[in-house]
Amino acid sequence: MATKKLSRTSDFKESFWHRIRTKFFSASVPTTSLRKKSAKHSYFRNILNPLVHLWHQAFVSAGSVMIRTKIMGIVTLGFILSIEVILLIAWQAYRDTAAILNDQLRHNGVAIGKTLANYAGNQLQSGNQLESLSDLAHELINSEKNIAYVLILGTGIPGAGMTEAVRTVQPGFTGNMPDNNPFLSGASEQYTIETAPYGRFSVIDVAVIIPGSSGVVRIGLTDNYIIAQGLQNLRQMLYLAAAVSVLWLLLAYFLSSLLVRPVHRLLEAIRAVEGAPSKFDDPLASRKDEISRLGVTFGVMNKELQRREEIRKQLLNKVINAQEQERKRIARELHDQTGQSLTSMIVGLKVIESHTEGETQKRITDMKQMATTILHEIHNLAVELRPSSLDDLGLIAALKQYVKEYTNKFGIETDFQVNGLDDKRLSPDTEIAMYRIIQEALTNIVKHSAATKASVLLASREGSVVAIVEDNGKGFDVEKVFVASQNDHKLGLYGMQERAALIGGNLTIESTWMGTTVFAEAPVEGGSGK
Amino acid sequence: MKKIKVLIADDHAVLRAGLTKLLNAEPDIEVAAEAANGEDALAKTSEFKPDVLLLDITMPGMGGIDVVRSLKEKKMPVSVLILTMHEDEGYLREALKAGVLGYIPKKAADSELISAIRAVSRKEMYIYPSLAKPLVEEAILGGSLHKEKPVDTFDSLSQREREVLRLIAQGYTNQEVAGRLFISIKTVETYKARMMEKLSVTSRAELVRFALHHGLMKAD
Repeated sequence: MATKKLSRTSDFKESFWHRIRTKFFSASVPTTSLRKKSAKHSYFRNILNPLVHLWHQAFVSAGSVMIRTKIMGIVTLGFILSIEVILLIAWQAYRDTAAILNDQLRHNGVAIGKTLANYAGNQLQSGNQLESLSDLAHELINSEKNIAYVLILGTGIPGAGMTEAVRTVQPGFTGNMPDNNPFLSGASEQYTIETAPYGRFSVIDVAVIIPGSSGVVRIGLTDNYIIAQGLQNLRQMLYLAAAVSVLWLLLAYFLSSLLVRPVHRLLEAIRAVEGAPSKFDDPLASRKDEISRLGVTFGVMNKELQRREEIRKQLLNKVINAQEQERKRIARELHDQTGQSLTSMIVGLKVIESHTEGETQKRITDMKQMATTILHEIHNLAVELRPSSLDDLGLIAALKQYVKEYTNKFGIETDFQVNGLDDKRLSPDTEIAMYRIIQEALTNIVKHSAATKASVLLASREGSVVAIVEDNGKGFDVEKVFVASQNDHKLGLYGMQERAALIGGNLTIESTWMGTTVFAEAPVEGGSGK
Repeated sequence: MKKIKVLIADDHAVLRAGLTKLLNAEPDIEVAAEAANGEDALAKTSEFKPDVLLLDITMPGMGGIDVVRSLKEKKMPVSVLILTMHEDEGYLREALKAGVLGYIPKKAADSELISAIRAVSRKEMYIYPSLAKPLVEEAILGGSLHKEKPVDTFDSLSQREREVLRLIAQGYTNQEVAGRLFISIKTVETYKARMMEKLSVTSRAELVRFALHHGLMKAD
């Protein structure tokens, strides 16, 4: 016999294994919870737990994002990626073009510079002044927007700086202009190119020596015009991309809604299983796509399930009632007919007994004894089947008797306590259901729990009555047994639950290593009191 | 010698016949009449005025207990001895409340009946011993056979423990208690175990009685 029930330690720092067992056995019906499911791995829990938790969280978070969001996310991400690639290509193209143009500018600059320098040289040789080139310079400026300035610096008084023979500036040009002759220092190149910054852009300065003199032609070229154009193009592309994105998002939203709507309705229908009729009769629903079809099928199946559930409940009710009626009838027969007949026989034998003696009398006495024993057994059988006190005197009286006999028969000290019911009688269906549930619970205690003490309680609450059977046995894994019982046709627990459900109540079982408690709650008519 | 006049009321004919034979075989007992149901029993009682009415409880129509009540109302001076199949304490109580003097189960018809009739005819009570035990204990020991706790340990309970106790006594599951007090189920289990330890109580029924005794619950 297990001894742990009565030797509870007063040290409530429960040991590691006690905690494990409690977690393992703590269960209640019919709710399930994640906590209980993972209790079996409790030893490794501390090690794997954070990782498992993170993984689980990630999945949950991903899972809780709506399908519509997922679709739009996919579409948007794809779209953004494409746009980005395109924009990158455009940017690269722009830069390449800019580089090419820059190159071109330089060549142009050099060409123009050389040409102008040669022309200037010729002019000087012909005896003309450099100033006469002013018109030419103007023409150049006007024809080429890229040219920022044309400077022709002629020879001057040695040591006194250069004289500006021609100075033509592109209107709008605000940059600095050079004012010296870079060849004075005896540079050997024919021309030089320098790049100076000009705001966001740059100025390419080409300086060419005028052959046959110490004059110099300086041409300034800018790329601002080109760049400004290029940037504007880019900007336009960006605006276009943004506009297309918005359109795309709207389209994606619309499309995903189309996809998601039937799913939502399906979800609703599933949620409605518990009671209300299926709402999946929307005539506007498209019946063509797979999800809608799934939903319609589900609606049909759901109706069928509900119908079958109704039938099953009715059938169960009928079966239980039939069983009870049968038991009642048999018990009555045994009690009223068989029992009485046996009693008559006993009485008859008693009469004979007093008129005989010796060996014969002894035999008669033995027969009388046997008949009495049989009568006793018949009586117990009848009471076990269906105690008449349940109908005549009520649940409380019947339970009192049952508990008394149970204690005597099985040696499990069982206590009976009523709270708040006084002598109020419940409906016959409720009383018999409660009686059977308690009977089943007590039978289970004998069969499985190895308990030494038990309690049967009836408590009254507003609008309901609760029957409680508690023992100090070894407990069991409620969920596991429940699931198993459905498979093995061991329908004890299941039967209890069904009986409770049939009278509009419910059954809860809580079990730990310290014992098991069965709660059966059922509604009662009327208010409190008798 | 004046014989004890007995009226046998039982719905089973063969049994009545057997009992009649049995009783008539006694020198001091005489069966005056038989009745097959409650109304018949009442009629024949006022007609034959027996000393002892041997009465079954379960009869068609008017039951035995109602017959007794009716007799008391009419103030008929007959001693009632119940002879029944029922051995439930409940039936015994009902019968005693109604005013019977004797109660024996039918299984003891051969052994106890004669003595019972004689006792009851002397206006003494005769209750089958094994059935009498709980009644006597209740009357003498002022309660059931469960031991009373000599030490009042109610004060040793903390406020929290009292709350838990009250809910448990009202029949809430541990889950419900946990939900109402915003604690975990484990905590509830611990409280309950600790409580039972403190109060030297080994069953839930005792716990509930304790709670009732200390007025932890408003009367429903």
